Amino acid sequence: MHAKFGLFAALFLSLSMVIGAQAQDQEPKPERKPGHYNTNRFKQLYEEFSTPNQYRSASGAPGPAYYQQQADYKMSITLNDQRSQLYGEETITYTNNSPDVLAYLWVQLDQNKRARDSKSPLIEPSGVFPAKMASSFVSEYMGEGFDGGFKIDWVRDEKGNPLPHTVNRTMMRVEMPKALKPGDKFVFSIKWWYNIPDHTVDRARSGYEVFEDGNKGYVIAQFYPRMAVYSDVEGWQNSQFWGRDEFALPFGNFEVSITVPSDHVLDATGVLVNRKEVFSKEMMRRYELAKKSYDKPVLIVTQDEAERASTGFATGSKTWKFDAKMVRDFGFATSRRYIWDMMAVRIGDRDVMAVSVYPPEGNPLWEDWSTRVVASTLKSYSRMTFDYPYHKAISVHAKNQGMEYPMICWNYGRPEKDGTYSDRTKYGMFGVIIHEVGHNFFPMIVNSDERQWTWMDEGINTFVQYVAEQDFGAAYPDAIAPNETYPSRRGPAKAIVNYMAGDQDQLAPIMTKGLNTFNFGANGYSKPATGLNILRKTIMGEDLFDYAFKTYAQRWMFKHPTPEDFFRSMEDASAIDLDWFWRSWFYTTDYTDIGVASVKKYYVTHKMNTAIREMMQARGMSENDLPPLVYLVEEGSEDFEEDMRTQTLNDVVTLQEFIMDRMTPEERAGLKMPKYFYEVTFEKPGGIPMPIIADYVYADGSTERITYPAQIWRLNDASVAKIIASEKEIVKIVIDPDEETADIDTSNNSWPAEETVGEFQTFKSNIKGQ
Amino acid sequence: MNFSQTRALTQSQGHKFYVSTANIEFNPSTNNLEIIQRIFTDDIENVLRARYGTQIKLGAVNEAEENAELIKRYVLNQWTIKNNNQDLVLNYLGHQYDIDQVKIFIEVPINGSLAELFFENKTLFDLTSDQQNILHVKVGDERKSLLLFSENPNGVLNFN
Repeated sequence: MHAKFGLFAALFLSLSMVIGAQAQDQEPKPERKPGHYNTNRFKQLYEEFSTPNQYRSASGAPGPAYYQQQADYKMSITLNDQRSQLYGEETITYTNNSPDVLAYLWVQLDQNKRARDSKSPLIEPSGVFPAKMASSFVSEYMGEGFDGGFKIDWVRDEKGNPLPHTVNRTMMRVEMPKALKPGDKFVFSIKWWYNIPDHTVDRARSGYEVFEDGNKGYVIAQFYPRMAVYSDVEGWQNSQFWGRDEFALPFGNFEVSITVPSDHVLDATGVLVNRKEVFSKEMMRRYELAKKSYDKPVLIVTQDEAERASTGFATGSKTWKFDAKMVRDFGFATSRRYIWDMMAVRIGDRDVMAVSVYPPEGNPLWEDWSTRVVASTLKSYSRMTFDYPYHKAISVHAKNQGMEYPMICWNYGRPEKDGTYSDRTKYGMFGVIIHEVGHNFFPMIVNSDERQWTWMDEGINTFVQYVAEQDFGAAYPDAIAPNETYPSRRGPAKAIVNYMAGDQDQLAPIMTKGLNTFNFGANGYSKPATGLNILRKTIMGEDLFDYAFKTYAQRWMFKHPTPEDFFRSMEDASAIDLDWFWRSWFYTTDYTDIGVASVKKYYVTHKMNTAIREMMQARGMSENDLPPLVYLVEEGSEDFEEDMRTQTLNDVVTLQEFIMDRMTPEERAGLKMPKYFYEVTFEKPGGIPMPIIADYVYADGSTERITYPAQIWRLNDASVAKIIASEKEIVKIVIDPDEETADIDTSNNSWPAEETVGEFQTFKSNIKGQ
Repeated sequence: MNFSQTRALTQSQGHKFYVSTANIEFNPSTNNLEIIQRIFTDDIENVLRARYGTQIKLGAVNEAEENAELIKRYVLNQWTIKNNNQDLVLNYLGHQYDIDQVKIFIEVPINGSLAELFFENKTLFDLTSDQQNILHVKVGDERKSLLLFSENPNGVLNFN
């Protein structure tokens, strides 16, 4: 017996060699292929990742020697409303928590992006245009252009002595009297002013808008010289601000006083510490009500009051004072034409204020929805990450804006003058508020480096935005009616297919600096968001994903994570090796395309088939040399006989004898009796090794779904076969039936090949029906 | 920053960011090319306003009926398609809004056999010199793409 099995094993081993030898006989001897490095798609990312160290652990968590710098600011700001100028004096206390001695400091001067000598326009290729918007023509070719950029009056040390400083475009190097040792602090002050740009003209991230009545709404940010980040991964992050890649900022505490015309209202990052000085008694009363209103916003300033204020122009001024702890930035919004509302939202064991500030131009959309969207967003993001740690989140309405700062953001979504608005405007407004309020979590708190990695804040945020949009739709069905679920543009896998199927010359991997990508929106936002959604829904499952995602967020809350910290944490907390996914989805421009190449049907028989008989003969063996075998015969092959169709496993003598010899009647009763045997060959024209999600549809109408993990592709990247033993006949196989893998070509996803009624034909038959 | 905002931002900065996508598939059973072109509604609204008046609102609750005619007039004029050097007739079927995009459906009957296809598409080149129009063409199992921009508004694809 033992000998027979040994012989059989030897025979099987030689089977593949025989086939290999046959192929070689027919062709001229091929050149021996050279060796190669490990190019397997499941190879670990040792070469792409940096080596873990004391600052950043292999687990993806901050290491025992992790450090981050701190920058505390005391600022006094004055707005000149008439001339649209902003003046400021700031004192920065910079703490060197690094183990390095710093010879100089780098300060960011983002406003210089709009200075007359800015180099941003110079790196943009330009060709002759057949036509151009009149406004851009004027700004580009007529006149001197806007006199933007910081005017630095002085930079001084604590004692008032001038400090040597060098401005290199959007970065300023400040030299200290002596090098800053580890653990030491350096205190210095900067006095500056600048002309505030009209953000509706040149699309600045901050600035003012002029309303039809002549009043201005100011949304002010990047308004003060800001410390650059010094870290263990980049040293000084002093890559210039060209206008696209956003910001890298250290955490710190802010004390800011802002002086504006006395008829303005104002809200900003941080706790308003002199509320009683700047609020009227009636505003205080309404504010107390708002703190207890959990279901609807309470107006602090009504539309009527805002419109009345808009008719005047105060000559006096008022100073608003804010304290903000552990924020990386500061922004504020102010106008006499602002309506202001608030409501409370319960997050964990605390109350947070959801706040909206908007001109009458935003109504009725804004009074109806803005604050509710803010509240819903805080709940969703807190569930996915950590309880929102700040005391408020403000959504400010500014035309065409969508920009985020700690606790405050600017959002578009403006109805027509008659108050009507399209679905596009409404969903645009919901989406942008969810997105920008969501940025409080990424990158305001999970403080990644936006200058280098757009996807770490925009992509991750767009992913959670998708979850929050779906939550909002469920919480407010009236807001999205007649849709049953929120119509999210980004998140679902099939929404990224067009981009993934695009011309390879025009694609860049996600792991590319934003400035250097072709399609910034898809690269920085949609593709990473979709990748995380695929991980959550298809590859990891919600439980494992959510735990790991939360682990990442909590580990890096109020810290500076890198892409690797994210990648490592997701694996560390889930025990799922995702290197193949990071490699293909984040480091390459590969796409998904998996299909059914062929399906062969087999019958089981005890009659020896040709393949085995020929091998036996070649080796001079007889059937007696073999243990009892069952043979598979392909339908339509030379061994196939019609009566095999009707035979059952009971007719296979070798199998019956084996079963009767070795099994009790009870054991026999428990046996499955598969009747149909299929060899299904899957092909993978695409580079990404996604799981194969296969629906097997049986003749009785039932469907069975089998998901083969992506690792099925580890040894053969092009095609792989599976044997399916079934008691029922398979009539149909569909790959990725729910369109969850971003498969760019679904024409090979069905067996038998199915003529799908495409979007085009559906549209055509619909218009015929009308 | 929001994704839509990044598109708007590029207007002054000139990043190659404005994109429309057309999926073009040959249907052998009807011998037609079937085109679905996706254009951002904001972009096409802007170009229609520049051409035909600032009051045009696309996708509003009570959308003006003449908008359909304006969209058709504009979009159709941006296309030229030839097969073996012969101009083809484009049958415009209509449009459909999809959140922030408008989808355009065009059918193009092919006379005789399909071989050398010439495509020109100048959609939105009159609005911004940074516009790119991407054409994905599929004939049988063959897929080819064209990237069209104002300096390079047309291209030829061979399907033999």
